[in-house]
Amino acid sequence: MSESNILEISGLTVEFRSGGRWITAIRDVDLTLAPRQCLGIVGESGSGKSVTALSILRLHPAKSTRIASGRILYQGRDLLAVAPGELARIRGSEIAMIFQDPMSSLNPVLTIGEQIGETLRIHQGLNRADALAKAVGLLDMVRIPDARRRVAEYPHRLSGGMRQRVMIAMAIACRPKILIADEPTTALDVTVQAQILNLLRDLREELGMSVILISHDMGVISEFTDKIAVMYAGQVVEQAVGDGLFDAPMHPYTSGLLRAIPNIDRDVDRLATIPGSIPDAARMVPGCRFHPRCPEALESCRSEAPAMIDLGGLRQTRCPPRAERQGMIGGRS
Amino acid sequence: MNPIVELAEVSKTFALGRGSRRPQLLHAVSDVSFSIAAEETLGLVGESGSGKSTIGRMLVGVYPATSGRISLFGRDITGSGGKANLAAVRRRLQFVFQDPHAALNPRMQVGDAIAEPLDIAGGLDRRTRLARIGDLLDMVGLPRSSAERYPHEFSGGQRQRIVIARALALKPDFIVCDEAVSALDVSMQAQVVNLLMDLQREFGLSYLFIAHDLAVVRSVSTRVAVMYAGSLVEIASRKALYENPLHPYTRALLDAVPRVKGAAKPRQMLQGEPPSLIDPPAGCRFASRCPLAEPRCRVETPKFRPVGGDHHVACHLVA
Ligand SMILES: Nc1ncnc2c1ncn2[C@@H]1O[C@H](COP(=O)(O)OP(=O)(O)OP(=O)(O)O)[C@@H](O)[C@H]1O
Ligand SMILES: Nc1ncnc2c1ncn2[C@@H]1O[C@H](COP(=O)(O)OP(=O)(O)OP(=O)(O)O)[C@@H](O)[C@H]1O
Ligand code: SF4
Ligand SMILES: [Mg+2]
Ligand SMILES: [Mg+2]
Repeated sequence: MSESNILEISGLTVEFRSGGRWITAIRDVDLTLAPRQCLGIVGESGSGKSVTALSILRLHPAKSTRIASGRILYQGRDLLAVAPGELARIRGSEIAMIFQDPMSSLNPVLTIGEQIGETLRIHQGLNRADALAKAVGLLDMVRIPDARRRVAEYPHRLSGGMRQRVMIAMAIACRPKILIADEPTTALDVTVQAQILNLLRDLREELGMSVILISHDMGVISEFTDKIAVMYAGQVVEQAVGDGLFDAPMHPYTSGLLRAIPNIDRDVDRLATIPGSIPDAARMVPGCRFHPRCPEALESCRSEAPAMIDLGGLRQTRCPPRAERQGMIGGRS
Repeated sequence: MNPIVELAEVSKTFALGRGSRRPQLLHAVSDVSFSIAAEETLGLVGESGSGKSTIGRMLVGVYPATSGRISLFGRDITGSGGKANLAAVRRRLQFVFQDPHAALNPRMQVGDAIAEPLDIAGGLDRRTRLARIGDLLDMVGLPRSSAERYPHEFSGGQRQRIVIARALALKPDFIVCDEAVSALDVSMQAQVVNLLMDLQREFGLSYLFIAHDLAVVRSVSTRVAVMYAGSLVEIASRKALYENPLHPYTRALLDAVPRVKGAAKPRQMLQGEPPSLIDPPAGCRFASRCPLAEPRCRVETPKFRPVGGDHHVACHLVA
């Protein structure tokens, strides 16, 4: 493992049992995260972003999941191999997760104060009163109005965005080294979203915290991340640092995705889409997984599954025709 | 134009700290009035916690209004006889709620979940039922084989599409879409939004479209309403709202939209804290954060009033 990375995922392949057979949800995923870095993951709905994130803390249903291959090195140790007790310690205190669906991860019969407090009691050994006081402070930090009075409420009595902020408060309660945030701001208006992203930015500075941010919001991804991985049909298809992805996408799927960003500056009556839909994981297409929808597909794309191609300058793509053109034109990298 | 949805001075309070001797009231929605016409989409945006979902829930009868009047298809669902009126129009209403997890029964196969409204209505033979499930899955871009799988086998965005398919099953006339597309990638989002608009043109549907993504709201809406701390602060045609926003909160909101690199303006931040809904401040609820606030803003509640055409705003400083 390279010294400069706090987390390295390599060759990760995850399968699920569905209707009596095993279906591959993600294949050969390679990702790295440096201290203080923010890695953004974007991609088609169902492409494997959450599956990848959940693998890091082994949060998949044990009976119906199989990690077919891969390693997840965290500070030199393979998280896929550490003992459950050790993993439980790391989870929450060193690596924290904000789940995509707050309602499924908040306990409906505990007040939000009890839930945040529980994390603090387990991982930081605080007593009940101190934990509650700290919970109120955390709710203030995530901008829940009347925090002192609302700390005693149950999750279903909060708005969608407030529940999401409770999840964020729980995740940052123990000042983790890595924060995995799966769609953390979908339920927030843009002003609260900006405040939350600033809060996370401060924590990155202050604690040296690294972040994996999964989001469909390209504006948020562009503002907040240093490095972006694009996923399609269970694979990473492109990686870029800085603005590279937006300036010159190197995969036709990314190009389609960027074209589909809705425009706020004009009235339009029809939004741009990428025609077609993601292939069924149970019947994965041969060749490049994007070829049935790709306007640039060549004959070779239909049969040869492309490997990841290094373009230099930390750019990678799984599209050989684009890579070739890049070489020919000798564009910036 | 006959409105199919009409709210007049609707308020909703929730009791907090039940069990304690002095229960407190949370003023989630205060004095909101608007209407939605047939074949219209009203976008509803605003602060997190400002009462948008509460309005959506009152409109489909999940929460009763504390005061004010709500009518659907010309029938009052709030007064005496409200229950019967709601029952009479229930089939024409559907909703897609914010939390797809809560909306799907984990033990029900997806096909059965989608067909549930059809089954309750009754009268479909097996073949027609199956074909209808298949059509609905096609519409939302999911493979037909999804019908035999269970909700936990799907990603967040896929589950959201299952809920949308179910809402469309009975061909309703009015749908409350509460963050219905926010779990989807931009291309899928565009596909679902285009579908909603096609259905609107074809069957004359109306929508209340609650969302935080202001670009999506601009493309889907006929008019847009903006909420802050339980109050409606502005409502206008989409063009007027985005190109000539009048309320200082609407402006702050539009200024805070995150943009892909290289875009025109740097993102502005709204300073300060939202007010308490337990002891709402006197006057305008935005006054504590408003860059333009004057002394009277902290005393006098601004009236929600027309300022030309169908543009309405609640601000003392808008002429
Ligand atoms: N527990 C499971 N059992 C079976 N299949 C699963 C399970 N969890 C996920 N999948 C499948 O794996 C694929 C990837 O799902 P994942 O949740 O990672 O998507 P995602 O990229 O996060 O999408 P979204 O943006 O919609 O959240 C999907 O096709 C999904 O149906
Ligand atoms: N069942 C309930 N019991 C008590 N309070 C509630 C209940 N439902 C909503 N509230 C409160 O009413 C206020 C408005 O909530 P609502 O869900 O309508 O907000 P919202 O505008 O939809 O916010 P978001 O954008 O975060 O989803 C919040 O303070 C919320 O906690
Ligand atoms: S490899 Fe071929 S099919 Fe795949 S994205 Fe590139 S051009 Fe399109
Ligand atoms: Mg996901
Ligand atoms: Mg809501």
